[in-house]
Amino acid sequence: MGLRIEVIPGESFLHKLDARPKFLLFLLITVIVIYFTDPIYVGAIMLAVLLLTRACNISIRKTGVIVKASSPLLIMYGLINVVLGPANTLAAKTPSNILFYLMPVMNWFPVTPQGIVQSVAICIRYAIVVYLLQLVLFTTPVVDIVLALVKWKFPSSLALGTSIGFNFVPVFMNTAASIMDAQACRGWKGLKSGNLADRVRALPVLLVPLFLHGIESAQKIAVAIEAKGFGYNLAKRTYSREIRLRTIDYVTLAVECIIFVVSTILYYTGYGTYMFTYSLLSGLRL
Amino acid sequence: MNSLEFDNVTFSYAGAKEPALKDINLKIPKGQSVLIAGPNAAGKTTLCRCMNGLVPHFFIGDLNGKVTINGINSKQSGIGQLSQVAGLVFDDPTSQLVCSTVKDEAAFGAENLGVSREEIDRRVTDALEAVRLIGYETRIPQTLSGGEQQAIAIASIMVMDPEIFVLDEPTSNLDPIGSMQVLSIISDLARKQEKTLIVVSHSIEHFVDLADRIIVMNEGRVVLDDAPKEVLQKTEQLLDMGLSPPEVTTLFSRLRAEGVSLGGGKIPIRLEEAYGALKNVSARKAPEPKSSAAEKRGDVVIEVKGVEFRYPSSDVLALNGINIEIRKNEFVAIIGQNGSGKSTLVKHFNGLLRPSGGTVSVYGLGTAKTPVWELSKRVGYVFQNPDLQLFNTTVRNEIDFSLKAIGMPLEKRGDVVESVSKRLNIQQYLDTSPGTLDKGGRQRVAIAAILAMNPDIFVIDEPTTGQDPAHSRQVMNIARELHSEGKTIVFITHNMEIVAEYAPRGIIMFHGRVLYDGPVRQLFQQTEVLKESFLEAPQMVRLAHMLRNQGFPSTLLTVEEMGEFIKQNVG
Repeated sequence: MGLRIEVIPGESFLHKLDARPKFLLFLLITVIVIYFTDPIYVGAIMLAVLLLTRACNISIRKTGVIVKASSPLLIMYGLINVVLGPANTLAAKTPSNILFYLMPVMNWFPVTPQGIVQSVAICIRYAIVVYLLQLVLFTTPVVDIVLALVKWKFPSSLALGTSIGFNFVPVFMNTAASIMDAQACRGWKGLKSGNLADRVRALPVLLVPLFLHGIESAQKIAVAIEAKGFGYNLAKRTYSREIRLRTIDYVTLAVECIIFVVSTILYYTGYGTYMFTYSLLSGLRL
Repeated sequence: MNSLEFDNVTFSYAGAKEPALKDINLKIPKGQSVLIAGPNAAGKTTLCRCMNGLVPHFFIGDLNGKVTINGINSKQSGIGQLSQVAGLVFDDPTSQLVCSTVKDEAAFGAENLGVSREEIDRRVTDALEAVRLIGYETRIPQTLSGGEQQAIAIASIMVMDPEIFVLDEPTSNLDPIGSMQVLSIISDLARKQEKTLIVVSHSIEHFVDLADRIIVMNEGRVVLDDAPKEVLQKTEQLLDMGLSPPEVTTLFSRLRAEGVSLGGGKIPIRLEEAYGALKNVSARKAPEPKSSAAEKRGDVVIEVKGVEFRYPSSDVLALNGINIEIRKNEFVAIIGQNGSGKSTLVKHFNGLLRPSGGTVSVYGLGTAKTPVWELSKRVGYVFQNPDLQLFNTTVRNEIDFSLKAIGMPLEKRGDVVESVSKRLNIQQYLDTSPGTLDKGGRQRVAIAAILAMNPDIFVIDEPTTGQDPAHSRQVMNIARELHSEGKTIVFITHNMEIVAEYAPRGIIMFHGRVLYDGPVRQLFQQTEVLKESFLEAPQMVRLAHMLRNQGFPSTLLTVEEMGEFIKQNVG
């Protein structure tokens, strides 16, 4: 399951916000969750993002579908981080920190509370970024993304290419479904039966027609946009939709700047590391 | 001034052996509406591509002679400049829409040309009004019906304000409602006579009223070029090329050839003219024609009981309480608009879809628990587009694939492949790649792959949509042959002439329900049902209805039946 690119209609803050401050919001949050390695700090950011979703009348469940779908991967990632994350490696140097070993007899892979705490933060960090990207896509029409790219001096052809690509994802998914149906009617048992070798051998049955169909549609699209004068004079191309920064956008940009400055100061003065939660926990234990 | 001039134009695509266009000479004056007809590979699409510079600037090749578009020599100008003079609309609605809202889509072309924002807004509103899509501005084009999508495509051309509109098979991929919708938009355009209008279509009957002129192409050449009335007098020539003239024209031309005179002058090309020629005759009393296969009752092979179905992402029932029995050796047509549940229903016959409620059984086997590959030995499903299935390097492997998949032993498979390919006349291509065959050939390979599994029931999904008439008939004739050997045939179509000609039994689907299920002969008598489901009976049936008071049975279905009746009972 990939990112859903449909827009959920609405009149909320996020819907009204220009694509540019919205992009910056995404970048800003991505940066600050990299700053902070403490579960309480990133947890607070997650909470803020969830509250924002609710305030915009968007279903948290729907937005979180990909986070949920990728949860096995996330857990794996978390476990690896418990053992190999920097906090764990550092803490394991002091034997009193070690809770247990993953491979007890050999005394391999020590696990420390510091490692666990940091790993939880890292998992939340991943979830925030994926969740937020979906939230932005749910509230931003592709055209606005294109316009933002154009304003940022991306080449128009690249920006429009991106938009066409996005719009064709559902069409392509439908074709793939039709091909699977059509092949099933010839006795094809699908990609989910048999051993690994069978499954690999079954792939061309889907991929060859899909690829050929893809080339054919790409050519049809190329002809259609060429016939509508695309590329006639890209420098002078007009955009019927106008994006203009309004008060709400300037205010948001200002708030974003403040958050950025504050978190950067916090980061460089040593706040927001996993030691915060760790010391809280050790405080409780003592 | 002429909008379009072709002076001795011959064009070969790069790498092609044969020219696609040969010695084309045409002059099309401003404001004229032209219908271009012709069989597959006649060069119609290539001709359209010449009209806005796609040939030779996008599709490169060898262009001899001169194409002049609104006074501009196409060789000396780019597509961008020519797109301001001539706008093209293509047959496949989805692959020409590239934006995420209707409004953006309509504006796309004008944006490319650098038209000012205020002017675009004004033109978009006008165009959406002309194609009756006001209120659709923020909808997503890909989620609309085929007819609506094609309407947006036309609107997006209107917004560019060209002198010439070129529409390449604008209705061939649409359902009847969509066709009507697009046809009325095109009629409006033609009526205004401000713009030059070029329409390529197989549906001569529908465009004959708005065309000032018909150009018939065959094998890269213009073979007929005259007013519709004149061109259609050459009915036999058109039929020989595999075209479908209006049924009334075929009827009168055949009768005349057999010496039955129904007044002199030109052969009628419109229903009203045919009625005019026949309204003063009176027919002797004759028995009502009977349905050929109605009395035969075989065993039930497919039983659909109280079936409901809902797609996972939807909250409406795609099928709502369907009860149908299909008996051995029946020939059944399923008709209805897109979205009425036709495909959803037939996909239940081989387990591609499983009912949300009720049961479907095939030869007594419940489809809910039987895998598709198991059911496909009983029910063969022929898809509309063969290209979704072909992936092998040779035709032989393509046919063999299904046999291997259902577990037939190797020593038997060779023989089956041989006999099936002989049967479908593709034995000479067994060792060539399916990709090198033309569309008709590829369709035969796809049918062969299904036929090889020797199913008893054939489900054929839209053999007529997006096809030229000769090609549709090719598939239907294979179906008829299989039927005569005892196979059961179920097919989906939007073409009512094909229904009248081939199927004794018809099912009308509407909003997930069966609106009618019974003999086709009676189906076309259900004026109310047809009206409710936006279907139109074939021209012959409508003619028979108009002639009821002259003693014609209203249940006559085809040109053959009408011709026979007139020969026996009139004059």
